Amino acid sequence: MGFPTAADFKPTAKVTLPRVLRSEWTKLTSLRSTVWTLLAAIVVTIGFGLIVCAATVADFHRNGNASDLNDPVGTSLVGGYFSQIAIGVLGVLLITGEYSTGMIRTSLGAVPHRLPVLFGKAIVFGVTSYALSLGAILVAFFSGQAILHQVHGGVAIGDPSVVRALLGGAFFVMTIGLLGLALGTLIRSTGGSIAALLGLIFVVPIVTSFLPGRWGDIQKFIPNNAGGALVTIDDRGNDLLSPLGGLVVLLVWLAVGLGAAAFTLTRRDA
Amino acid sequence: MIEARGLTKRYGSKTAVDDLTFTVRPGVVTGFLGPNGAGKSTTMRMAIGLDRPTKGAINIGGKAYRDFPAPLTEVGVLLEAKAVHTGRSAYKHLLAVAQTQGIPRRRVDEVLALVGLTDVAGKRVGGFSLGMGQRLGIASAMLGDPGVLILDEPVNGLDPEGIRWIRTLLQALAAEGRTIFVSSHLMSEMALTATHLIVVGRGRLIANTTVEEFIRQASGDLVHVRSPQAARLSETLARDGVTVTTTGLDTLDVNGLTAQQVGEAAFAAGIPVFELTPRQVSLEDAFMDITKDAVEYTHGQTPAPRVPSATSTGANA
Repeated sequence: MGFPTAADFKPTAKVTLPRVLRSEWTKLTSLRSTVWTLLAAIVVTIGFGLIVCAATVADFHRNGNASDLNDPVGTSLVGGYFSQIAIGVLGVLLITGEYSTGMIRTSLGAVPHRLPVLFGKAIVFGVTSYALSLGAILVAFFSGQAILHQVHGGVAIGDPSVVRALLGGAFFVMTIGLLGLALGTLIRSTGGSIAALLGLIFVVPIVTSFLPGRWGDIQKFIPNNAGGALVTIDDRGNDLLSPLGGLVVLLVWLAVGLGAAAFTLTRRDA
Repeated sequence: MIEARGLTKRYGSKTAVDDLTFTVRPGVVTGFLGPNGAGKSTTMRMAIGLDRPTKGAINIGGKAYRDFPAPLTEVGVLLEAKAVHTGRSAYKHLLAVAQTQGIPRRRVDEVLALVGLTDVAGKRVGGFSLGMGQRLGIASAMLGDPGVLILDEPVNGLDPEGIRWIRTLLQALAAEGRTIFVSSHLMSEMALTATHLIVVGRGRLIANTTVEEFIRQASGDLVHVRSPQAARLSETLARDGVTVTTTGLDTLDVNGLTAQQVGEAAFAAGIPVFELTPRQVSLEDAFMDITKDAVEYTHGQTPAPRVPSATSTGANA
């Protein structure tokens, strides 16, 4: 019985971050559910953008005006409200799927230092979700603006702040995805992590809106509103941070979330 | 070589592993035995850094697992239950694992061929039978061609052909000088596969010895004799420190004398002897006996066995 022994790869075998990235990419693209969810996020982004723009035009034709024409870029980004859920849940599943199937023991057994696994997932998923979101947003933008041009309501990509808003919209969706990853690593169960994610997206804005007086300022710093600040073009009369402020706040959320996840991942038993 | 020194793991008030000290040497298959809840899986998890010991340490080749630059090329592990994502194909699963260490793709094909899963490599692992899942786990453990193999219940779910295949594989790997550490509940299989045994109960070390010695100690000097003059032979043999039990019309179980001594005593008294067999208990009996005080989770009462027949001979292994 001949057993394959292949000592030739052993001298060069070593766990490195680039190699872990390759492994995480293989993992990401080898699950049908992941691929379908990413496609769904793209479709939702483009679809909603087109629907809202078409509805705006119809509204204009009926009433001679339409409120959404005040924020033409926003109409292209509205899909983000929904794709953020898909991408956020995907971020959760990226890690909780490993815990629920026991795969985590294989992953952490192969990479006992553990952090490369978390950061490998964050980098691979972050880049992928950003690239796909941005692609979908751009498609939504160009096709949406083409529709709005029928009623002279569209903007061009070169108009002030438009590029920043589009890049920022993709960045916000990516952030939600990475916060999903962080929550999944902290909570480790699929149900609990998704509940926490949805709580962050839907419940926190409601609760903070009830805070009295100066406490209400906290609203500016929750992810939704920080993201809103990042994509706002016309900031008259809104209570948000500046776009740069929004970006910084989102980065802080990422640092805290992934930092806490990294801490617990290395400390706890697998 | 795997070395545990004062290895202890506590979960709150419960001590799962209690001051374990042992060495698993290369070149032999070492069996890791114990009742459920004895701490075997916890010990193996600590060996590969999944759980952190409360006290003490367990090292491989003198190093902690996390200090290996490419751990899968040094230690291959198969833990209980499939540690695989069910939505992924077998090939992609192994590929993802291999890529972390920089192990080439052709090695993935090699280990799939080794365990006989080449034809189903592209299928979702979720559709695998228990036996196929075990084979995949073994393939994963062999990916890095490691010098140390730690296997938790590797024969679980395998058919007799598969069980024999594993036994042959492990013994061949041990003969190559690798360190093989296997836990199992299948005593009959363990007796055939392992040469050395480490037995734990309630987290503590109960025995650390060879299979032969373990069985011998549990069996004692038990000799089965069949003679037409059994009653007379029984009287002849009776002396201090010797117990003779009549087990049938013409059979005796003698405790306290070797087969040689019984044969010589019978010859000296002119008593014909038709069967003279040193009786070994099975590994299962030896194990049950030595761990009966350490069983964490007992089953209900089993019905009392019938009076043993006169034809029990030799080891049941």
